[in-house]
Amino acid sequence: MSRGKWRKSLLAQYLVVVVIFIGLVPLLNSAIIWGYRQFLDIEHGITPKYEYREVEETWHEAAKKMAGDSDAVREEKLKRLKEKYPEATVFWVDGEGVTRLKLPRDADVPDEWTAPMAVAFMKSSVLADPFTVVALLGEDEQDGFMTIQIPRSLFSAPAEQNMYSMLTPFVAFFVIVGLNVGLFVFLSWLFFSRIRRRLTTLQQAMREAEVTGDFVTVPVRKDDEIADLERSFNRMAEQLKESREREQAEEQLRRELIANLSHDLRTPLTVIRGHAYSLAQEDLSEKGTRSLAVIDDKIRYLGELIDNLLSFSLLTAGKYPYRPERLDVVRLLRAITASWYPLLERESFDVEVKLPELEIFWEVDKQWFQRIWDNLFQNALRYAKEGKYVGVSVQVGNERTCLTLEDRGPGLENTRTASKGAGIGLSIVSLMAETMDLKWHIESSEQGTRCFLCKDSPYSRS
Amino acid sequence: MKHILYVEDEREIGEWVERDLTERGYRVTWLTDGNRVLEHLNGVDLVILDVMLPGLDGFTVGHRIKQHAPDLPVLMLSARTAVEDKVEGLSFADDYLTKPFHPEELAARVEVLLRRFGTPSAHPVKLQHLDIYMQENRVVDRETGREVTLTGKEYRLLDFFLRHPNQILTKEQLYEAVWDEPFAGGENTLMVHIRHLREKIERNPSQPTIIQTVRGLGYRVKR
Repeated sequence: MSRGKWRKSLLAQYLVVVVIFIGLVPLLNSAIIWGYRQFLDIEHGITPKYEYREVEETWHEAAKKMAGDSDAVREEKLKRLKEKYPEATVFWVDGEGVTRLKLPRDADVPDEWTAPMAVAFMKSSVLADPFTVVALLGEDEQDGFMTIQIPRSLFSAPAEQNMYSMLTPFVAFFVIVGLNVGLFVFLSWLFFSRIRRRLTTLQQAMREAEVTGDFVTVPVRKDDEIADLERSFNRMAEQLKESREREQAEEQLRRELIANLSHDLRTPLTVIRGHAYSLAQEDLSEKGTRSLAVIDDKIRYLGELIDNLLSFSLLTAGKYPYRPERLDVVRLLRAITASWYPLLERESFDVEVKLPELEIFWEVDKQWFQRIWDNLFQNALRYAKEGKYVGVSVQVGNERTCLTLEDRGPGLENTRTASKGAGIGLSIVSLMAETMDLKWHIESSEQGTRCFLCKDSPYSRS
Repeated sequence: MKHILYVEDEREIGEWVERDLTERGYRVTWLTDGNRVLEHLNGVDLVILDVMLPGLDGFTVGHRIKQHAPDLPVLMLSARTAVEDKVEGLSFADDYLTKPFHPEELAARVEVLLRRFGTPSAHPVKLQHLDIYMQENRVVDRETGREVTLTGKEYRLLDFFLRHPNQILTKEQLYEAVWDEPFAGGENTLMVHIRHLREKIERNPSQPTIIQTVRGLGYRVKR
């Protein structure tokens, strides 16, 4: 992969995510710590305000600085210190043991100090509450002392044991780890969800093609591996669309060809038939009349053959219009038989109709059904003339119901000529039956032929 | 004399069809294309129409004719694959013949259509011993001179038979044509009416010669 390409790859994009994460980590963790502090403050007000060491140092520092100050200046400074430590009690006693200033003014501090009182005070202050810092004033430390007392509750205790401080390390650990992991997962999720969206778009385009047959292309942004996939898909969609258009054009061509062919074959045949008929009107010998009858019959046969051939080609291409509906096949068959009756009668056929007074409903295309039976009757009329018999019946069974056409011709094997003709007609019957989910078969012997058109299931009465 | 409008572009076929129909006693107007069909519809009793025509195709012409004159029978001739044409053709054509057809078959179908759609003439239709005045709904027994009174349904039955002579008509076809509703168990009604009709018009109702029963299929009136 070229360097330029690598820069746009998915791997590189994810590395960007990682880098962003690393960049955000310090920000995140500072935020956590600040947040935790605030949390403690708001919830429990436990943040220590002062530190022992800090107070001590400040106080001693201040005392040193006040060494050569006048009383007024000292008072000022002490007032400022009091402001700094508002909860404190602050006072200073001069070298004579007189309390010169106490803040707040009503603090419980003796006005005069003796040595024993000072010592007692010091002793009682050690490790007591409030926290007391005493600083000696003056460069020689003879100028008195200044004291600050702050309640211990405002201080941090290094060894102070309370529930929250015990938990803090553990909680902090889990919280920090958890939030860091969370940030990482979030960034990764963002990255993957964008990829996922592109894949979904692709999948939807494929589904659309599958369902509607419409080949849509997807927009290609970026230049990574998924973009490659999208481009390939688009190329394929284009090809499929083209091939489908080509197929439709071919289909159109075929239809026209069939229509033209049919016309070109039938027209001269019609002319011949017409003229043969004209001839028949003339005065002819018996031989002549017979010849013309043959000519006429053959022309008719050719017409049927053309019809069958073209229908067959349409059928096998799946282009024969098919509209199935729920129809009473007994009624249909009766009507078809009725329409063939006059012809059969003319040829001296005995037509036996054994159709039950039932309604049997099948899902069939009316034209197709008619076509099947027209072909079967036609065959009987043409090839079973000697038998002079045609029987139409219905057999209703538990597993299947059959419509039957029976003749007493010499049987299929013995039909000499044009078995091919019958073949095409029967192939059509076979194909149509299959499409309509019907089973069809023939039993043929020298005594005759029986054609069965069956449906596997118990019949449904209306 | 009935006037037939014949639309066919192939000269060789057109020539002998025109001749044949004229010889059978029809007046024939032969057009070689469908463009000006509508102009010629006046006074025409039947149209024979070839599907494949130059210019406007046969189906379009057929539709136009039907729109213009819905009661005028149209017989379609086709040289194409029977199926598609049949399905589309039957949507408006009253009958359908594929080429190559036998001239007698054409003539027979023409006659049937004319009979079916024709306005009853003043002359009675002769059916064995009966004279039937279609326009007046009157049936007279020629041999006895007596008039036969038929109910409305009985007359419609007889009329339907006469418009489909020599054809076997199934009970469903008869019922639906006369009662104008789907045949759902109308068998008894039909049989009763046919029995009554036979009792009125047959010489011997138990051995009918006019309305034949064809076992298992239906009924037929032969001319």
